[in-house]
Amino acid sequence: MIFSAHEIAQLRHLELLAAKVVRGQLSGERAMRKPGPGSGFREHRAYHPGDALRTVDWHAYARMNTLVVKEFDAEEALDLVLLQDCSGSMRGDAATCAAKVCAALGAIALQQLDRVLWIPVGGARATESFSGRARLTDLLEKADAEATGRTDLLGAARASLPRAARGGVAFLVSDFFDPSSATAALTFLLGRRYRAHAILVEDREALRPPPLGRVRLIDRETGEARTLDLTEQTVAEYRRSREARIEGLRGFCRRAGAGFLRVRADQPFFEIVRAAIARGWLGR
Amino acid sequence: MIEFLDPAGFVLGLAAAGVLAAHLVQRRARKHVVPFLQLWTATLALRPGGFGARVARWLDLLLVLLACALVAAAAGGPRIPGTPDRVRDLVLVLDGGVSLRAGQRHAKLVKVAEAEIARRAKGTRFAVIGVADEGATLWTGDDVGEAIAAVRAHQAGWTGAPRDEALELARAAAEGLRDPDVVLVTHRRGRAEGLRLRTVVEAVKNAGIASLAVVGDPESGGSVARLLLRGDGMVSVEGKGDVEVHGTADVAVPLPPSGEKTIAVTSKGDGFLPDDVAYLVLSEPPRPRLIVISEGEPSAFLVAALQALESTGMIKGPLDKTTPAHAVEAAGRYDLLVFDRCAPPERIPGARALYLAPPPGALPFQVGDEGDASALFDVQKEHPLLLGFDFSRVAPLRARAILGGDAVATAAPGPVAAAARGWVALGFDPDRSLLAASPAYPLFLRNAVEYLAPAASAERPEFYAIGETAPESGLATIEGHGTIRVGGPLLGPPGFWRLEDATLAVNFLEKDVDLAPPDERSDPLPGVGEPGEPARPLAPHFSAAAIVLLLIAWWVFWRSP
Repeated sequence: MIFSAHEIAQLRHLELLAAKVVRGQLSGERAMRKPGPGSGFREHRAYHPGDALRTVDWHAYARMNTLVVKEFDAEEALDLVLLQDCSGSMRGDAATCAAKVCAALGAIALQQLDRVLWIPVGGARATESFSGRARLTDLLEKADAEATGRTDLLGAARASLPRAARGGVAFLVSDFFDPSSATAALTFLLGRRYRAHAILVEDREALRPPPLGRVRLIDRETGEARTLDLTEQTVAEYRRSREARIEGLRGFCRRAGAGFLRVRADQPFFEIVRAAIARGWLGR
Repeated sequence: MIEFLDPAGFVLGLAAAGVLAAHLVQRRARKHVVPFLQLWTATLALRPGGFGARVARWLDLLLVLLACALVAAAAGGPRIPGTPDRVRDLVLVLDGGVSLRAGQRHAKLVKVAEAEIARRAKGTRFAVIGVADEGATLWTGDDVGEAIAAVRAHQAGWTGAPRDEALELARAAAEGLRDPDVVLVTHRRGRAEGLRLRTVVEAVKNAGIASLAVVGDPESGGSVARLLLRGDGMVSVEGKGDVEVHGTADVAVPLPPSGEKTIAVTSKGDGFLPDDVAYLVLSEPPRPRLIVISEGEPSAFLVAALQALESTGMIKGPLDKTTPAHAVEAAGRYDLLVFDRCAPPERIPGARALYLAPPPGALPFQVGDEGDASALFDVQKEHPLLLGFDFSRVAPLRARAILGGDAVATAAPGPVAAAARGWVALGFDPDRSLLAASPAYPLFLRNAVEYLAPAASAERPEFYAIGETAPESGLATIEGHGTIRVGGPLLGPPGFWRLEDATLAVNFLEKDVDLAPPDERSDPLPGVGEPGEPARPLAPHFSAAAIVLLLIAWWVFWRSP
């Protein structure tokens, strides 16, 4: 089980927090903007032949002697896309953190009757769609995926999202160590009318610089190795380069209207998800 | 056991290897797993000064490789080959003369010889020749220990060392050796051709007796014993004081009355005892024993003349007589046989005999017919038999010719007087001539004895070898002082002799009592083999160079961008 008993309690708390903060707009209980079958009153309009008689507001007819019908917002489920980075670069605390964050977000969505599309990036598992509270257990099991394979955020999104996607909310929980491009997947999701949010998970221990001197660096994801002579100068340059990369990602998100959250791998998922909720990322 | 060519090089090599190991450990690429290698490579690709870094890396690698090569070379014990030893073999001739018995000279000679052997280069071959009473090759080989043992076994002799014999032995030993040094370890001064002298120098005070002889004393008309002394202030001579350093003095000692005796001369209190006593055996003049052989009574003139010789000491009495039948038997016991008008019954080999009017018989010459001999001619006046009188006036009336030997006088029948080795013959009866009654008869007999007898007296030794005993000797000791005279001949063979129970040092060779002070000696340095240049080990240099290179490599590594 990915969550401990304590974390499950925290997860319940998050669900309540999400219901309170984004009531009426955060979940499958939220009305869509177009009319449709739903429980939320939207407006009155003149009766047109063909309208169902049960939609006629007989009280209004009694007062105004005009047939009007009540329109309701269609109660359409929200599509929540979770791109969970399960590649080899996430191995360790980052993978656990990403799994918990995705599981928590998916759990909140399923509790509010939204649909959840879980897309693993890398890893050995396949994309799967979840809906209904009954699938919560399956989602939690899926999210607890082994970190393996290579990072291809764009490829995973492109392969798993239907062309006729209707938009929704998308979360990319990753270290964004994508050899091709860290921002291409965000661009793709935004193009599909998703409100995309990037959660950058950093495993500080894994990012700890190697000792100085001659070091054979081995890529955790690809196994590729190179021998380098590291000095304090080169390590400092590496740190600057990494920060510049993160800042570049942050700037991209800001410019594209996407959310960006930089978290530590050892940070409790509770804080991360609560921060996402506070930023309104679970709303429409 | 492990033997290192160069311990210092080994230690430095270890140090270099340690530094190299630390350097290599430092340079060993440690594995480190990173989440995203691309970020590292991209970062390093943007680093400035790539060319300089590459150069530094290659330089660093080159230096390390050079250091490794130097350490490996140092471990192999490199060295610059030296030149081989230039070995000169050694022929060591040890002087064993008697004078080496003075003080500790022989012990010092052995030490000098040992040092001469020990300082030779390894591989030198030795020939050790000892020269004592006679020369002998003691040992040959190349073992230093055995050579020294042979030197230690050498002992000084009791005579002068035969240097010529030693030289011959040395030359023989030098054949087959490599450029040998022939070193004579001796205490003598001077040089010897073909020899390098190594002199044992030790100041030993000595007063030696160089010679002892009996000479006539013109002043007294008698004889004196002359002593040639040699000393360095140790001998105090009456009337002359001390003998000067390395000086000589001749001491004449009046002899006691004649007779056979031995004179011993003694000096005391110096460092060389063997030459402190010299003995001289004084023998009486040789006096032959005669026997007269005749058929009856011998001639009265003959007996009277022989008794006159006896009284003057020419012959040894008493005068004996016998007949021809016992002549052969008597020949061995007498020095001279006088046949008075008779002949031996058979030949007597080796006998010395005087024949007076011999009849034909077993004679060493032929006797001819008798004839008139009143007139003598061809008288050999200078013949030893005729010294001191005129033989031409003998006037024999009749005589037989003596056929054989050298004719001394001739008459009508032929030679009537003749002589040869071992015999003298007169062909006439002296009693029937003017000879018997004249004063010339004893002179003739004396000349005949002198002519025939010296061979017998010469056989008696004047000196006696060690172990021999001089007969009839009464020792008369004369202390070493008296009047002084210069000069004097050496008598007889020098050396040590045994007279009864005493060891005699008689007439030493001058060189064997020459114990001069050291400042008068020449002491040329002998040649030695030259050791080759030793090989120079390079391991320390290689190791030090490796350490320096590694330090430079380390510096380059850490200073590279």
